[in-house]
Formats: sequence, C-alpha cells, structure tokens
Amino acid sequence: MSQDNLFNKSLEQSGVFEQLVIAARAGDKDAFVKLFEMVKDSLYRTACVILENENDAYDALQESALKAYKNLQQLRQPQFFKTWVTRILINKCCAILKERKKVSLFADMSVLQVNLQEKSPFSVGVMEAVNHLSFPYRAVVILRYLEGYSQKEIAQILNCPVGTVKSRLNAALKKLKADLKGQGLWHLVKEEEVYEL
Amino acid sequence: MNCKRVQELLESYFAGELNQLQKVLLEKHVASCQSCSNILKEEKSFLALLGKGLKAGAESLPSLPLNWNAILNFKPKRGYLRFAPTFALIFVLIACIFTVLSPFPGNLFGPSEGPSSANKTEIIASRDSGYPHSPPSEEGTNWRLGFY
Repeated sequence: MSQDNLFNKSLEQSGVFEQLVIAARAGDKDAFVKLFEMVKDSLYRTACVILENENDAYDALQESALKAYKNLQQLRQPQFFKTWVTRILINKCCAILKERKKVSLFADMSVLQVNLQEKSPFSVGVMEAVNHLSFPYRAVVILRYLEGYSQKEIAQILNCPVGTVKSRLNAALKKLKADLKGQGLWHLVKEEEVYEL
Repeated sequence: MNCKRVQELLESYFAGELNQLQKVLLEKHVASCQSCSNILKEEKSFLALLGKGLKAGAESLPSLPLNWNAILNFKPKRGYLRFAPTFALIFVLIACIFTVLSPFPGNLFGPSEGPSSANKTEIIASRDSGYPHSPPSEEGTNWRLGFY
C-alpha cells in the first residue's frame, strides 16, 4: 500500500474527510479547497499514468475538482471522499481517451518515461508495459499498485463487481509479464527474487 | 486447493485480502508443491518491482496548483435557454395578432356568420314559444314536451 493511501486511510479513520465535507456542504469554500488539496497529487499521478500526457491530466484534474464541488451534496458517505472523487477522475480520463480516438494524434513519449530513462531501465519498461494496456486493465493496475486501493475500493471506483476487478487484475498482470519478457527485462525480476532470498 | 486456484489467488494473497481459511490452504499447498513455491517467489518479486516502477515514474511529477478561482466561481453557460423568455413573448404576440386578424370564421373577436334566413324564422318562432327549435304552435297542441 502506498504511503499516500496509508495517509488517506488514517484521515478517513480520524474523520478529517467527514468534517471537511460537512463544512464544504455548508458553504465553506476553504474547506473544499483544503479537502481537495489533500488528494490532488494522488489524483494527478493517476491521471498522468492513465492519459500519458501532463496537459490532459491537468485538465482532467481541474474538471474533476469542478464536478466534485458542484455535486458534493450527492456524496452519501463523506468519509469516502477520496474514493468518490477518484471515480469522477477515472470517468473524466475515460472520456478524454474516447475523444482522443476520434482525433488521431502523434503521441510523444510520455514525460514519465523521459524522466525515468536515467533512473531505472526496469521502471521505464514497466511504464511502457502499462501504457500498452487498454484502459480497463491500466486503470486497475494503477489504482492497485500505484495508489494502493483494495479490490473492493477499486470495484466502487470503477462501478463494477469485485470479481471483474480480480479477473482484470490477473489478466493485466499476465499481459505485463509477457510484455516485460518481450522487452528482455524479466531477468531483473529473477535478480530481485535472489536479492530477497 | 489445486495449483490453478493457488495461482489465481496469489495476487490477493500478497495484498492481504484472502480470508483466514484461504490463506491457510494456500500456504499449505505451496509448502508441498515446488512448482507453486517457485511461482509464488517470482510473483512476489514481480509485484514488488511493479509497484516500485510505477512509483518511480509518479514521483517525478510536480505538484501543480489548481485554478480555484475558476472552480469555485463557475457559472454554467445557459446557451439557448437565455433567449427562452424573449422567444415566449414573441410567440404570444404572434398568436394574438393571428387571432385578431384571422380571415377564418368563428374567431373569438370577430363577427360570426350567423344563421341562414330559414333558421332565423325557426329560432324566432321557438323564442316566442319559449322552446328552442320548436315548430310554430297550433291551437290545442301542447308542445311543451316535444323533443327533436
């Protein structure tokens, strides 16, 4: 589980989200700003990896903040604000991806891969393999291994059964393994295994 | 628990999402099956590297400020609905003009064509006798109860 998600889980348990949501619903704009700023970086990371484009990710984030602000009254359980707003973001990303299919663009190399080239070949390979996944599989991998959500939470975000999340995760991992083997990076997994032993 | 089932559950096992019984059965199987034991070790290191790889990519992203002024003061564009009252007023005026100036008979404000002369006689007769459309009265005839 990522550090961010551990932090957010502690916020959920301590009721910070709940207090801020109640204040924001009562008309406190500062409360909403504070609430969204807590989850903003996590949402931006998710959008960047899904959309492979910082500008689109920023647009998705901005629009998600707007939608969350307008529809805050519809949130039934204030303590699950982050899950709810992640769902809004994922839907926004999905809409952007669909819009992209209508207009064919030459996709530049993702800024994530550019930054990673100097750091770790395996990380570059992982990002490339994740980018090769179609949207439903990419979303579950990111929500699981980048943001640390449980299968149940991912099912709530993506509005699908837990069984679907499990099968997508298994299928996505299979594809990722095949891709990494194809890139010739699987030996690093073996080395990691030896290192752990 | 067979090998296929163990491999399906490995992902949930590493995430700590199996119930106690499933966990015990899985560990028992892995302890006795060399193939599944190797797969388990491989899966563990793969998932660890996958998480590290994704996080390494994400860490390089900057924290960007949002345009809160635009978000908190957003007013939706009403589009064509802005002109709805104007259109409604124009429609009412046109309807009134059409009704007043209409050449067709039976309009609300103009003169009606009226009955023909034959009908006029009948109506006058019936008016005199006190009944609508009753024939001219004859002596000894009671038309009170006549229905036509």
